[in-house]
Amino acid sequence: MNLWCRPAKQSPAERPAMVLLASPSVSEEEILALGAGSEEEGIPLVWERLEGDAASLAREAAGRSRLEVGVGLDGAAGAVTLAKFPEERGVYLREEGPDLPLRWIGQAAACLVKGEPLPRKRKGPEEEPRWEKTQGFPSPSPPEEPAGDEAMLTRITRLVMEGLEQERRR
Amino acid sequence: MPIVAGIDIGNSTTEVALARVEGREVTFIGSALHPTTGIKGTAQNARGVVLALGKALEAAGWSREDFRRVDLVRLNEAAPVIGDVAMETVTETIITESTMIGHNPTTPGGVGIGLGETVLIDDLASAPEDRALVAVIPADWDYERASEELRKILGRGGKVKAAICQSDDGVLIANRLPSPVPIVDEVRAIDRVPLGMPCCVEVAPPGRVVETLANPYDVATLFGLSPEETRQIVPVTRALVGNRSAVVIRTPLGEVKERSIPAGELYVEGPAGRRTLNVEEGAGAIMALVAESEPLRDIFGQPGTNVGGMMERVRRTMSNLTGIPIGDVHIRDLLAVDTLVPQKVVGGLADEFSQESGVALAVMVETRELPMKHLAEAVRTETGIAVEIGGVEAEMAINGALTTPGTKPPLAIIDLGAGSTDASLMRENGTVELIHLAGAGNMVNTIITSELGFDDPELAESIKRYPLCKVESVFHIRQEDGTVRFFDRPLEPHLFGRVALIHEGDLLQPIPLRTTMERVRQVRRKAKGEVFVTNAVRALERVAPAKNVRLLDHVVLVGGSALDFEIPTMITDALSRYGVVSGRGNIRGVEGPRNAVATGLVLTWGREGT
Repeated sequence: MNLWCRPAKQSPAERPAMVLLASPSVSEEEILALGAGSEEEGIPLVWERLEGDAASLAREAAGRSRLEVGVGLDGAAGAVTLAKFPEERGVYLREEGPDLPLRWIGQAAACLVKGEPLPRKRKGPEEEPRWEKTQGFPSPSPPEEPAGDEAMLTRITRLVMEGLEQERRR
Repeated sequence: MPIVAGIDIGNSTTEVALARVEGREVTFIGSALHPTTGIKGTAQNARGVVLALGKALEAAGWSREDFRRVDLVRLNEAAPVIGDVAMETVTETIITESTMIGHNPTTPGGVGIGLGETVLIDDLASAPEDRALVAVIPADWDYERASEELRKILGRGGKVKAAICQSDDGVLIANRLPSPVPIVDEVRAIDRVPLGMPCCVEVAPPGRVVETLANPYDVATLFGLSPEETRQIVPVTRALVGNRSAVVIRTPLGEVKERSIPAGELYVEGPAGRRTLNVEEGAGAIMALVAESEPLRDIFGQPGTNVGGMMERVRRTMSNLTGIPIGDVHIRDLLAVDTLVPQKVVGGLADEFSQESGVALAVMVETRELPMKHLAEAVRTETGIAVEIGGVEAEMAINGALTTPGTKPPLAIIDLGAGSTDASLMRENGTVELIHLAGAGNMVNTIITSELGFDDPELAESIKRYPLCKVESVFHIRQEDGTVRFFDRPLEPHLFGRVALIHEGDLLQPIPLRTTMERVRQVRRKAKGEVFVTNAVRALERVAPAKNVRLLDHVVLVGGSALDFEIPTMITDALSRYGVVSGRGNIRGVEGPRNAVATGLVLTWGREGT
């Protein structure tokens, strides 16, 4: 039996694990695909069925998890969040659309437990490049803030750029 | 009451000091800075000068275009020096037949050492049962199917000792075997793994690194290598040091060699004539030769080599800039620093990198003079203000630095710039000595870039300039001094778990490298130390009385790089061993280490001009 990804009923309650709550429309294959991601990272996952949307399921799951990381899956979306993540901010990670990167979601959730950088999303066995250019980050400003209008312009530009960047991430 | 603007055009910034001068009374009313436009000393600088002057006018309470307020602009006689920096790789590992995999995947499967013959998983069933095997698993075998196949073979007594896997499935497959075998995964070029060859796979327990495959004699034992073959395998074992997992495959024609790239020879001309040195001998030997050959007359590089190309490039740039024939441009100083450069292993199977040794070189070119007259004319045309070219930069800088509270002559200053490190000494009788040395902020960037193995000048500048942290949770970071800071808002997923830089306003910039905070910090501090601390001592030795740094009392650090959060303390620390008081300058008690030359230009006009 797969000890790394099993239904909550079959798992000893004291064993630390991430919790996945999946709505009834999610197939068991999909659950196992997600579980493969967390297993490869070495973090056990227990799962259970519950009605709800991905975000609320993830929040509920995080509350139940001894590792304080929860995953929610409904037919259309996947969400990962942490027990202490403020509810008014939604969930920490959210993926939706056809071809959900299930294995990536499992891996990312495990990385949240381990405190490691989230993996890159990838389709094939492509090697992660050693280095990737930082996108959308302001280049270092000159040591002194420019005076007058220019300072205002710089600040406005920076704020707008930050806003756009956040919007893009969302 | 005349108003005088002192303007200092540096390699990276143009600084202005604006003052009302009445006899000996000098009242500063504004200062400003703007990035230098164009190469220092050319007419293109005029634009930067005008913008910087406008800002200073504004700081004094006037409008930006109100140039009529100013009676005189004093430009510094810019030291006719430019620097250039280059990296030369000295060694390179080439594997002509693919014989190793050492890319360090994050999650290899199983633990231990497995020795056997490589065989494709499709052919496992037909392989002889008594032979030890290493399964090669391409990505079209998913982990379920692959582990089922391996279980089947193991169940009937087959000897599968290890596996090499293309997908990130190492742990998944190992977990599904009755007794796990070591599995190295994420091997991209799986189709290039030679089949039917003796192979050894090693996966170390978590938190450890491979020991057997990183030891040439262990590899010799495993494969029964002759002493000559053992020698050949050394570059492979060296490339595997520090990895958690590794594979070595022995191919009959397998030839690994560590090639030395002809980095070229340096010809150093000093009072004792021309001396030759190979760049491969490293920074220590180069710097010893440079020190012995002082004062340098010139340095050439061997034609047709990397170092020769670099020396010619510097000469040509300087020649184009000044109109001086290329033969009259002379290299007056050179700073060499040993570096380790991660280089892609030629012939590796999974983008392996090997730490190769390299040398970073910065050179300094001096010519007779820069075309300052054209620049002065351009500034005069644009502003309508009379322009004069003030005294020597060093004298101006020292006069400016002396406005730092707590200083008096004799005084030495070290100007830590982007392109060069300059030092000057004012003796009690007012005479000034000046030298320019190669190597400053730009060289630190070059070393950071090459040692950490990326290719982004902006990231290097940020790493140099900002302290590090590790994002440990959604709400907190650990800073490089070990302290923890919490944030009100959750940190974004792209920052999670990463090493990041703390910009102004607590903006965090993730460093997109698989590295640790300690490593980045160590590279950054080493680069700063080997450039700035080395140069500070070198510079003071040249200007100090009897070349003895201990005879100096006060050393004031000025220039852009003196604003750095750790360079001044590193230098202060190093100089305290010589009993020298040193620290970051504070020009006019308000400007910090900036504006020394501009201030000096205004102050000396009061003395020499009227």
